[in-house]
Amino acid sequence: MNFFNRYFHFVLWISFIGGVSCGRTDPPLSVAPQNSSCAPKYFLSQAPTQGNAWAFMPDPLVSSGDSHLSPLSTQLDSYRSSVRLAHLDGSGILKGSYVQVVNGLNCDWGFGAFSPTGQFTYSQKDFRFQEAMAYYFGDIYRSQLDQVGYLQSRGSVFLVAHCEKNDNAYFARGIDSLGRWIEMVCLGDSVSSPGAYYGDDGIVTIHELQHATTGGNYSFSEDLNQLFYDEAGALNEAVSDYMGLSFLDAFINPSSSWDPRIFSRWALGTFDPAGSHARGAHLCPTYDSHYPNCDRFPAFEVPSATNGYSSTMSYVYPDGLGWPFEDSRHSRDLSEIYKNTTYQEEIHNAGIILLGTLWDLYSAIKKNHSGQGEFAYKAVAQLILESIRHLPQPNLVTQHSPVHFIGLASQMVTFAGLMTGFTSADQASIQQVLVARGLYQFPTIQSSAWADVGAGTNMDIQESSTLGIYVADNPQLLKKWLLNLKKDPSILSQNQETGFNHLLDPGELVAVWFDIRNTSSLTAGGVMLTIASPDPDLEIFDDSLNRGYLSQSGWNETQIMYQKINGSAITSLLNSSGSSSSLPIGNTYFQTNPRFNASYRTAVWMKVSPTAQHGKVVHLSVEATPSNGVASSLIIPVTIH
Amino acid sequence: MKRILLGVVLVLCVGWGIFVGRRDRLFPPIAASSISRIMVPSATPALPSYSPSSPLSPSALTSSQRWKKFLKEYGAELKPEFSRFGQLLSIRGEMGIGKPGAPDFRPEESQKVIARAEEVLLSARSLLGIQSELPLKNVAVKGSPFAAQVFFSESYQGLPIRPGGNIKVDLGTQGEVLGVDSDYVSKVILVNRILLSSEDALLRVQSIFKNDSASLLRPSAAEQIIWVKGLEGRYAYSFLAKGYQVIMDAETGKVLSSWDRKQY
Repeated sequence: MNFFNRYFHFVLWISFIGGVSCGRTDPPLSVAPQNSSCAPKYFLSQAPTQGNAWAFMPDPLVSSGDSHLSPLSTQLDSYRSSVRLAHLDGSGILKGSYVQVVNGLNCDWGFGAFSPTGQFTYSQKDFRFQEAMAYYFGDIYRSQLDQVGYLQSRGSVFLVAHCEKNDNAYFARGIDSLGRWIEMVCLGDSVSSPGAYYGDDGIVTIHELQHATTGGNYSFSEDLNQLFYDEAGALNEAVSDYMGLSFLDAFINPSSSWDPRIFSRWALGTFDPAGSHARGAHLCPTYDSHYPNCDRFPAFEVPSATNGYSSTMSYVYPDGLGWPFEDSRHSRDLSEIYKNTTYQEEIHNAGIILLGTLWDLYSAIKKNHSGQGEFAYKAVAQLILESIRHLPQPNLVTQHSPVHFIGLASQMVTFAGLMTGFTSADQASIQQVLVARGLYQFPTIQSSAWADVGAGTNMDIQESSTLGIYVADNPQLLKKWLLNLKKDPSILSQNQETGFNHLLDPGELVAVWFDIRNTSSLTAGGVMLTIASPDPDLEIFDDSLNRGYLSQSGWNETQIMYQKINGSAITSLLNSSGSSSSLPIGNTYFQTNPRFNASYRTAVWMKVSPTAQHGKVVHLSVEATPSNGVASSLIIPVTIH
Repeated sequence: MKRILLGVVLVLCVGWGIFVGRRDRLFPPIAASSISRIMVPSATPALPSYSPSSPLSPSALTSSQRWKKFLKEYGAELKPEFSRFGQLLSIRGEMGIGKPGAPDFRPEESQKVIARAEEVLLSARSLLGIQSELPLKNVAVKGSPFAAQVFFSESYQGLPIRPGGNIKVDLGTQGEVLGVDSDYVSKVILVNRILLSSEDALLRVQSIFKNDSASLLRPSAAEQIIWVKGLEGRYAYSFLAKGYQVIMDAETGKVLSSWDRKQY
């Protein structure tokens, strides 16, 4: 090669290299996609698989020992504890074999915290703190559950810290763009207390993660929750609450000065300035005069001269269903609580009895085994999850939501007898607890004539235009509900003339409730109503509106569940005439839950044909089947106005 | 001429160098955040799909006789529930009471469990209304030292039947029948066509949720299904979007059903 050629090639290479140097960006490792505190685009491959972090154990209230600690305190960093993170994949981010933590609001659903050395130690005011804390609790919880043998994992669950501005957290399943299952937990940032985070409460993370395991053990395709409100949904919530409480008690061991039976004293207890919504695993609610020992369990009493003006309310099935754990207004007046509780049948509230039952089982097993919390946790977790596997599946012909508390109880008795970890003393304890809570060997409603048509009235509804039913036809209200359900409100056709008379006018879309009267002395629990319309002039909407629609039954038929309908025994205990503290309860559905119509969740949606004749009577068939008794059939005539 | 040629070559080299240096910006690699969202699918065992070994042929046996025959095979204490049309919906048994399976049955051994569950289905196929053109596929199994459950899912023309179309067989420690739950659909009459592409359907679903906050659960790719109501079946697309299950008619684009599947 002559000189010119060598020179020529030299110039070419220099030019090339010069061009590359001009075009090259800075190394990306220190550049974050949106926020300089988010993880970089390129991950490592040899970061440690274990790390360090700060966390509250399990929340700032317990960590601090200060029951008045505000979620907006500037001293929260003082209450952190050092924890070890395990099962990291070595990429420098919070990604492991059991959970991986991303950040919704701050890092556009990407990874936030990043450390080449495994140090995820942040101030509580740094958004990465909640990520690291979520990883810690998520990993330690799922790894322990894996040891129990019932994790039912589809892989690493996504925990989304700072998921959205919402006073809530939730679990959801999804499918990504490649058709693979994603399981996700969303931890919200509080709106009622800006600057407070659900990620600061370890038990919330555990509660939501448990939904993945509970659902996975029940079915690969069906959710436990089939209706808006049903005992299956309440069971799902109770199991999540219980698993959080027992895990903390067995493995985290917070200070013994705190009652281990309170669920989420931080997020549920302090974020809402209007009052606490914490739940408890006790035998009675906080407004029972004998709380927390609840030594009058399982009695029910209103204050009177004969009992020293004390209130007694017991979490026994089914009479104790629906009573909130805390009275957010702090009135301690049973009548006020009864009148003002708009969420009696809401599934978190409805699950309190089962939460307490499961805790009692755990406590009994722990006591039988010399206080070994870890043993009791694993044994009871195994029992619950094995039992869930045997719960009945729904169908669209007769049983849209077949799961009840008592079904779980029955399975637990069966499998406690098979599992080698349980001694005969344990089996006896399990039965005792379930019997005491009204879930095993309980009295049953035996007469098939127990149900009748009620008057359709209560303390708020003074008269009923259509005996036995309540019709919501207000177009503004129904439109609001339809939008909430993400449905098209143009299906509403009623106007101002007919839309406020609580009657079935031709062409109207209505939400309907049935005032079933219980003639038995026993309260009917978990009452499944199967409602059929034989007349096309009054059509029951299909599953586009009615979750419980039986699309394969061959009839125009749907199901809805009422949490309970009081029997005469509890009614006379709590509504004795002459007592100023009597509750205005009765033995009909409307008098059991006077706020039944506060939401659409126990309504049946119907459409009146625009050509229906005024005055036509349609005979609706209503079958009421309680969990603790036999079915009872009614024909309820309704008149088209 | 040589100078001109050299100049052109120099420009091309510089340009090529700039291109090499900036190609990350011109063709960005998949964002780390996107990589992080790609799930490693959990390993699930490849299980055989189930279909009846012989097509259903008219049987001289009545439903009652078939049920008695089933009881002889699996235990007299089993309690059935039938629909008003005589289709078997569920069976309830008890641990340790019914007739056991093979002596080597182990509830933790998935192949043995599936084999036993398929035996049960074969024996009950007429009662359950199982049809050869509506085979049961996508078998999944759970086992423990105490019991095992096998899940079957129904399809038509290769597409999953929804809602329903599931059968679960629950077996005890010795393979005895603890339970069968079925919402099998015995007949489907298709009433629509596929006119909407899955991409168009996805765009429609995205517009429904456009005002929802950003979520990892962006509308999934469409799963094509047969949505049944009574005897009518519709080609449809199923999405999971922002925690909602959305079913869209594959002909008209109408939302047939949607519900919130988030658990709080």
